[in-house]
Amino acid sequence: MPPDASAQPPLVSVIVMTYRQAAFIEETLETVLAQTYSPMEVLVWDDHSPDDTWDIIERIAAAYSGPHTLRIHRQPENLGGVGNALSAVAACRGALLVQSHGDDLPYPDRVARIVDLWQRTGASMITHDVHLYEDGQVGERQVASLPHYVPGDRQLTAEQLAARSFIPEMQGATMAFERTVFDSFEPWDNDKLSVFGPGDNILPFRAALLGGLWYLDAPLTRWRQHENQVTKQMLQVSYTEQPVDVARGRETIYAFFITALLQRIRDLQHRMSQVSQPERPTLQKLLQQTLRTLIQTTGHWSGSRDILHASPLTLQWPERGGGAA
Amino acid sequence: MNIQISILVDARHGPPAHPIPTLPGEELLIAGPGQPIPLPADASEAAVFSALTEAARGPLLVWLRAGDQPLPTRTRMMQQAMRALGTPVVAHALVAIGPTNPRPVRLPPKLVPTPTISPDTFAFRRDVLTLARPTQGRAEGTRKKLAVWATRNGGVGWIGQPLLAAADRRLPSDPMAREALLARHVQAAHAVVEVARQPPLLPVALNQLLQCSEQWVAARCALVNAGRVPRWNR
Repeated sequence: MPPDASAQPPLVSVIVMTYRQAAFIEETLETVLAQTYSPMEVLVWDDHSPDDTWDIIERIAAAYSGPHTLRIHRQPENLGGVGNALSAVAACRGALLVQSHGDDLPYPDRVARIVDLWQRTGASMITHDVHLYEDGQVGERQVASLPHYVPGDRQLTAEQLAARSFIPEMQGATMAFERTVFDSFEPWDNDKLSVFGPGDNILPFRAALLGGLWYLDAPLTRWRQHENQVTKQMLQVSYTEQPVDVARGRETIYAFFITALLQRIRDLQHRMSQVSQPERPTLQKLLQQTLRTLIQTTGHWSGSRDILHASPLTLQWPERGGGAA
Repeated sequence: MNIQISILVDARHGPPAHPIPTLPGEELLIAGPGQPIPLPADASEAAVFSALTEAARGPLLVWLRAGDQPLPTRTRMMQQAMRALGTPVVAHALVAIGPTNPRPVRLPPKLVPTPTISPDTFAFRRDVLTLARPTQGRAEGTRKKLAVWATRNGGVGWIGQPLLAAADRRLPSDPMAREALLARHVQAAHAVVEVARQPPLLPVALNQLLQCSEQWVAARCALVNAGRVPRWNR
């Protein structure tokens, strides 16, 4: 729960996770440190980047004398995205944790607007829209440009989430959350998740089970599009309508959804063991719905895989080049 | 003695780890290296199938993979299921996954070719063997082909309960081959769920889907966490 809005403003932790972002990190930190909200601590957690990212971070930290507390850390070895994120979360002191990617550019009022909605709703997580950003050009809003877009801030319920593998309002680059989305569930098991953004689909569901998930209908950050994004590297994005090209991307993304749905099922089972008897039927319904979504998603994945095998294509596993989400 | 049931033990990969229980009227036939029916470890499934079925005397043949530990009542339960359903082939669940149901049902034909239905759990009537042709080149091809034939000739029965303690089926050590095999298991388990829309198959099928998915996701995460990316290429 957020602190009483009439009391002193709560400390907010902004987590900037970096890896191989030498080309972007300076501009990103300028925008993060220019946030109007206070009190705020900024944690810049570098996952042992092999390029100049860390040198740039150290230089900026040494020169910084602004209102926020700036804390920097370099992992002694590469932990992967999840490991680095968990390390940062453990180090945070704020009541609300705001995620910010090392290549994205938040607008100055991002944190202030998130905190405002958080305090008005008591939500466990706030997400928001983004502006796509490529080659220095601000593009369209991601959520607002979708066909069935409904304007306005809104709560996204656990029932809505259980019925879908993914909803566009669950964008990892925009998430702000209370620590309870980690502390109220069993620890993350890296053997059952992967470095590629499982939080995008899991943490919002956890938040919806706790104090609620709210979507703030405004573009509060510029989401940088570039070739080294993990998102682009992991997904073989389809540029044609050829069934094989479509199936390529879908196989990977449905595999990701299945990973997240299995974790949601584990989370629901854990939650059922924690709550009192009257709350269990609701969770049982959510579990049944999540199982139906898993079956449906597995069907989509299996169909994509069949198309690819029939093409005939084979799944290969080259080394990843590195990058950020 | 009047042989009613022949237990066909495939011991190509090693001798039985435990004594195999038999009841009066049952005979035990073991094929593999150093076994009463000698076969090399790399003998094909068709070869071991032919050797065992030619030696068998009972009207009901029950397959057993050496290392799997059957319930003492396994053969009789399969015999009863075959009589109750009138099917020439009966299979059972391989591992204990969620709620089980010993009541035999007829398998939807679509499920029979899927890897979820394990030929290591098959029992079949001896008189249908002449109608089944050995198949070379596939690990379980002969028994699977027999079961597919049975779907058009009386059906395949199913007992939704594990009637043996399955030894570990060794997965490929190569992580990419492991991912590929486990993905096929998930596809098969999903096919079962799609067809088995009601009890008694659905709870078993759903649990199997969850179990297979967890294994496959773990294999996939191991690759991704090791810095690999999935790429579909020719």
